[in-house]
Amino acid sequence: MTRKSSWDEKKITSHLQQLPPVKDRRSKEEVFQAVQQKLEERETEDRGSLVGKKKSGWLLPAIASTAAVLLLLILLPSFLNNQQHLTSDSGGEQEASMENRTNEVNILMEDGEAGAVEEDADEAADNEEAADHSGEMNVTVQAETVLVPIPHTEQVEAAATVNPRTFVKREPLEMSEETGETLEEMLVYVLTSDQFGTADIFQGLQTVAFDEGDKAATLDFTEENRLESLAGDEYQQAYGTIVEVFSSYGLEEVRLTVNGEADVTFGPEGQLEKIELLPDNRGYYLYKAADGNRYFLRGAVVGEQIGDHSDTLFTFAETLEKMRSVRPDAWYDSAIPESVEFAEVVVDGDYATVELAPDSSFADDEQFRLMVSAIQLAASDFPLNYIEFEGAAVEQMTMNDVLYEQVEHLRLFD
Amino acid sequence: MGEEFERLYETYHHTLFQYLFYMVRNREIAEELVQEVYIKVLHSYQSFQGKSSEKTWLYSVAKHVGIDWIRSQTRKKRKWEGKQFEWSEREFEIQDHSPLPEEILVQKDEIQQIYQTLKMCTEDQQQVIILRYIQMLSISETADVLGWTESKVKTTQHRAIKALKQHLENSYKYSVKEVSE
Repeated sequence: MTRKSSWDEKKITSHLQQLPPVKDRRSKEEVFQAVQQKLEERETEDRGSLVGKKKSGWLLPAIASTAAVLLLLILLPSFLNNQQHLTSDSGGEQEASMENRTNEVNILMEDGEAGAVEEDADEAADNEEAADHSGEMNVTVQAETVLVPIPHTEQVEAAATVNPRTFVKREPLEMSEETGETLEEMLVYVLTSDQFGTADIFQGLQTVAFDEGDKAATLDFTEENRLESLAGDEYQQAYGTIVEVFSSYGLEEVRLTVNGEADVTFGPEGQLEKIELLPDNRGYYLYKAADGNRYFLRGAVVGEQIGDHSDTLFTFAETLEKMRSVRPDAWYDSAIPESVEFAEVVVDGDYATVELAPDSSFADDEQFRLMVSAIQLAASDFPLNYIEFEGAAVEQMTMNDVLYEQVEHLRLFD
Repeated sequence: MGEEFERLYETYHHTLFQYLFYMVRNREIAEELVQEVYIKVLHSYQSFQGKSSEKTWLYSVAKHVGIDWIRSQTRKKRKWEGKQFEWSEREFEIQDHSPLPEEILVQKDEIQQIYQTLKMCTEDQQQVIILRYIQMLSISETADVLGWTESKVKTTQHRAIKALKQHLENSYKYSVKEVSE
């Protein structure tokens, strides 16, 4: 059996606060004497160094010249390497396409605007810190684990009818030959793998391609697809999966093609070229399945209000306030307990602080965790990278006065 | 005894000493450096413009004194060893071979472990951890001392805790491996 380290962030911060106070053992007089003595020594040294300066007038120009030569020596190989990179990048077209996709994901990560690659986020952060010290440019790192939306469909009873509803769970998936080496390949894997329950309906899916200009994705199938024969629940599952998975990326539409031709019959819809998505979203809500599992769903897909009456999308603070209540006829719940109120929600750049009102409380740890997760998801529809939770209720749940959470993004082209 | 010195000593001495101690991890060096802080502060007190509070100004002087010393040691060490070390390799520095300070030695193992692992964080991460968790400065005071935005303090703090966790887990794995071998 493997033993696990017991360190978590709460414990670390609590232990840091327990590091002992360290006092100077000297008396005030002793410190004063030492300071006086040092001042006197310094004055003597200063007088000495003034004499020395006259003799070494040549030193500064000599150092400057040496530094200039060294700088040239450092910069030249790096410049030559960059040139080589550009040449190899412009190789075969097919290769370039795959490389570009990977680089695009990474670039988004490094800008801190989108975070589809979990492990890269930390590495990029470290590089950023290293760059602070060295003044060097950040170097693109290869992605290994990508956060992908995994669809899950449940039979949901709402308004006296039972219908399939699709939710997505964001999970890290390791890049490999089997799962794919680009985001597009990984999405084909997610939709067609037996592991995730949509293999039958997406049979024959051969490629997924993104079009940044149109904020669209094209799903290309082989002739052996089952799209035409989809009916009833299967059709609804296929439709819901496409809408939920690709809306998560902030896309506006999905185009369906067979071997590149836009001639697809999509179940009872008949001839269909594209499916409109719901890229704009504000807020996440909670559904508890019969087996006790809980799923988050986007406010946009269940018709919750996502903006004001002039169609301006809610701010982050407004979104959290909206998330506290759901439509009266809803089959899902708010992830924010009634016993919780927000004292203040402040956004500063990519950082949001959510302060809970002093009398807020949580029934248990799970209730607290669900609220934090829902707010993290809601934050991913904004250019936020970190959320800080504050308040007495937070302290009670975490044994710490603040809780920091990183926001994981899927949106591609914002 | 100078009035100004006496006032500064009474108000800030132990706080500044502790800050320098956790930065350089050596009592004798912290004693030297805190004197250096007084010299700088007493020399330049008239130039203190009151843009920040006196407390954060003193901290920022102490920070510069501490960092200058650390960097001078790193340069010496590099020269001595004749090769280039990265900042993250500070665990190889001379002062880190000294025994654990008495105050830390009497603490439970996990606290000692935190103290030992802290030195593996980057310079910025250590600064934020010391100021926020040991000196108990607010985000805004820490930002003032370091000359950063509050947002940068928060981000670095978050990353620092994550880094610390990673280092602690790595040393745990290493120790488990050693035991099993």
